[in-house]
Amino acid sequence: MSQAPGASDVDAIWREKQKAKKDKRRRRKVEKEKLLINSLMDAFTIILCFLMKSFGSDPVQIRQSDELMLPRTSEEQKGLEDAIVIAISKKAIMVQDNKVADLRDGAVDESLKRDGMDGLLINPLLDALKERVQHLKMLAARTSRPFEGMALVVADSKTSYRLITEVLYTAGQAEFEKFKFVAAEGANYNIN
Amino acid sequence: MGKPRREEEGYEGDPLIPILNLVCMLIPLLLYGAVFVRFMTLDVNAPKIAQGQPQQQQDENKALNLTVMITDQGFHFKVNPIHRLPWMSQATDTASAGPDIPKKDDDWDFEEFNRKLKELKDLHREEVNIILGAEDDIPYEVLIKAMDYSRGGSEPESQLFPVVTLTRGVV
Repeated sequence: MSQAPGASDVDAIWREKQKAKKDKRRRRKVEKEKLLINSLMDAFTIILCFLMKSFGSDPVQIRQSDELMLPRTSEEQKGLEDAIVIAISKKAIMVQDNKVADLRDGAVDESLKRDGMDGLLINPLLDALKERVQHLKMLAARTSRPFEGMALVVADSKTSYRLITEVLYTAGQAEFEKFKFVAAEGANYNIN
Repeated sequence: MGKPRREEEGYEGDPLIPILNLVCMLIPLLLYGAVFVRFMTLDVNAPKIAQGQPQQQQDENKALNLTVMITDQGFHFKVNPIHRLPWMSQATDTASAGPDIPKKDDDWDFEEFNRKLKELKDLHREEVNIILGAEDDIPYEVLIKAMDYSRGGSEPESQLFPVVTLTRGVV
């Protein structure tokens, strides 16, 4: 059987048209993917900006953990201020994130206190705070900002009152005069 | 003709990939470091190490001298004797006296504590000071709660005793 003249040309044209359609579909597909990446990038950029803002807005960075779970407060107005941070976790006392004394059963070992078990002054804490005070006073002398002697106390909710007073007493001996207790917002009680 | 165009299309998308990688790395990193809880501060004056004021000095002074001790039994109130209310213990030392507000259901009765503070505030409108003390093993969260209730509401007219001074141990 012989083919009609021009039939192969028609086939070729039809194949070309099919190929063109296929290419067009493929191009369309590629364009669609590009659009997906762009919107994803937009979303990521917004998330990134939000996270970077929340990361750098507080003057002091406090991170809660199992060892340092802050109590809740009904206070809603006074936020964090830039000051020396004395943290009391379940296991240690820290000054500006540097561990200065270990805690055993929520108490400082008597060997670390000036007057033994009944003493209030914690020697390594006093040394660390004095060093900080010296540094802050040096900064105050170079700038117009005076030394305020303010400390933020960031303590675990189960910290004993005894340890709190020991820390405050020691800080007082290192020339700290103003104290602020840090607590997480959102107490489950309403005070009218 | 088709091949170079595909290459061109691929080339357009490529510069986004390193940025996307960077963003994908930064987001978990920032999420890990991000703090979603707001932290608040409560002003406190340094502890008074001298335990209590001499009785004579208290009597001469007309100030309220409100002191609240938190013990394992409840709340103990101490004021200048000339301002003492009938529900307050007459005993001079906390150890021998029972609590003025005993614990309720094995927990400190903060509602009653708040009512008593309001009663005192109504009698002494201009007074803003309170001295808080506690037994050695009282947890910090109880102290913070007591400070919250001592401060009262956030509105100026609903404030009770916002100036808190800590005292060492139980007077």
